[in-house]
Amino acid sequence: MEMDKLSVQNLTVGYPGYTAASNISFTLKKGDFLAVIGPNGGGKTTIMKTLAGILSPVSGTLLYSGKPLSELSRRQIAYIPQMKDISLHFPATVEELIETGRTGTWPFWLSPKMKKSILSVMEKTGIEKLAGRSLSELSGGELQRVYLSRAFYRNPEILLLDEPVTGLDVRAGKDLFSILETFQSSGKTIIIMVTHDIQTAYSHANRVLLVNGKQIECNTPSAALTAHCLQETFGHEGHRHGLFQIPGANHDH
Amino acid sequence: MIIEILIVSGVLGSLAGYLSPFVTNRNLSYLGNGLSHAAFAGAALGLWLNLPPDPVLAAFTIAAGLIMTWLSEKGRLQLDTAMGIFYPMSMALGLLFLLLSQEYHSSALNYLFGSLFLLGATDYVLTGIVVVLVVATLPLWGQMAYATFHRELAVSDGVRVRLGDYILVFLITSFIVVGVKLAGVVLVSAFLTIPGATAGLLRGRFAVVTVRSVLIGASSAILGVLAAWQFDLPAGISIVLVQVFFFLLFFPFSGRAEMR
Repeated sequence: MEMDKLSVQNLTVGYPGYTAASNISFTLKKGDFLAVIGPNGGGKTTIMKTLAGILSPVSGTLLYSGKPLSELSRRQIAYIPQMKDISLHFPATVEELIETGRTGTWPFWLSPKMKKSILSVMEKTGIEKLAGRSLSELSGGELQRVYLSRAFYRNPEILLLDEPVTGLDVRAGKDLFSILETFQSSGKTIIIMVTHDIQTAYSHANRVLLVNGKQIECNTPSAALTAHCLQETFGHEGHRHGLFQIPGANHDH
Repeated sequence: MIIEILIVSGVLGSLAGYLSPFVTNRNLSYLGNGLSHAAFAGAALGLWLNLPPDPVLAAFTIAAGLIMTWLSEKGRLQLDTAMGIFYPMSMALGLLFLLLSQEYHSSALNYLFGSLFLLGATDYVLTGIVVVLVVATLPLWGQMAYATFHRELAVSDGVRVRLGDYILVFLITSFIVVGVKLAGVVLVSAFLTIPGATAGLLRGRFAVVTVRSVLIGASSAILGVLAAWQFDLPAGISIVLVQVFFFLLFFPFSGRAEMR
């Protein structure tokens, strides 16, 4: 019954002496795509870092298939951090970063067999033209696709993306979601994505978690993205930025 | 004697070259500076107390390295702020210990700028021990490199980044303990910065940069020692000038994307 389900119950996340978000509860099954939405400082990224095992939960339970999430092999979770956190100066190639998806460590060298295997993943995600390139030469969109290829190589149970579309143009965003759809259509992966873009959440996710220091709502997009819930999440500022104008969304008042 | 000095200098240069890409990519240049000055305070304390200066220097430097890493890890202070306090404090303590000892210690000046003649059998043994330590931690290179690239990504993959931090600081400290006699307090931190910075000027993978940095570290140490022997210079001065020469030589070929 609990097989292949991610169950988060009464989760409180934060740092020593600081609570970022509390009372987070949701359950996801394989093939689900959860969009985490909230204002800056609302605790979205802290939730992601807790799910990724970077931070320990302050309280609450995180279970996968009925067992603590921390017992799941690290190779079965793929985390894609915010692009602003990536060092421009570290000397690394596209292939090296993708290889970390398989091994979880930095490669000293890549054998021809390793390179062939990496290239086949790059072909599947349409980035074979980036072979041999240095990470510092890539655009934000290209780097996101490299990270997704890395995740693809790992074939994870859970894929975590922290604001993947921030700073991308429309085309790069489309390319990104076409790869994400591959994950989604396989039905083998749970996708959790932090985003500021409510339209993106509405279009691609089948579940939405609204947070602002606590859980406001977790439901299907049409049930969660109501004017009432969005106002509770973003306050009155949301109106000014047109956050609540979602074609097809439920505009209740 | 020159052969032994050349061998130990080449080995020390290689060790520094191996650690240097970690230092430059983790912005730890200040650490080398702070620790080398802690080494001076330790040596001066030993001279004041009429104890053999080297063990006191080693104990003082290792303690300083661990305390600074702990302070930085606990988030009490940024590492560069911790260095900004530790660096002048160590220098002030070192000078105070020398004043209190009320006798002139020529070896104290040698510790400041380095001397070929400070190196003895004990230093050869200590250098060998540091080589063994580095070789023993080679299997952790991949994990330390991964944490250098992206700390949180490495943590999410189960890499024990704190262990890597402490190992790295311990190796850097160990290098300073054995390298300070050759290069001197003032210049030893350059050994940990310039080879990595020079190797990173050219494109390449982190592993390639590391190998390049080892070669630059070793060759500049050997050439610097030969120059020091020939022109009767403090070794630190000639080695650092050779390192800077290599940096200037490769600088025109550097080309990094500034913006993504």
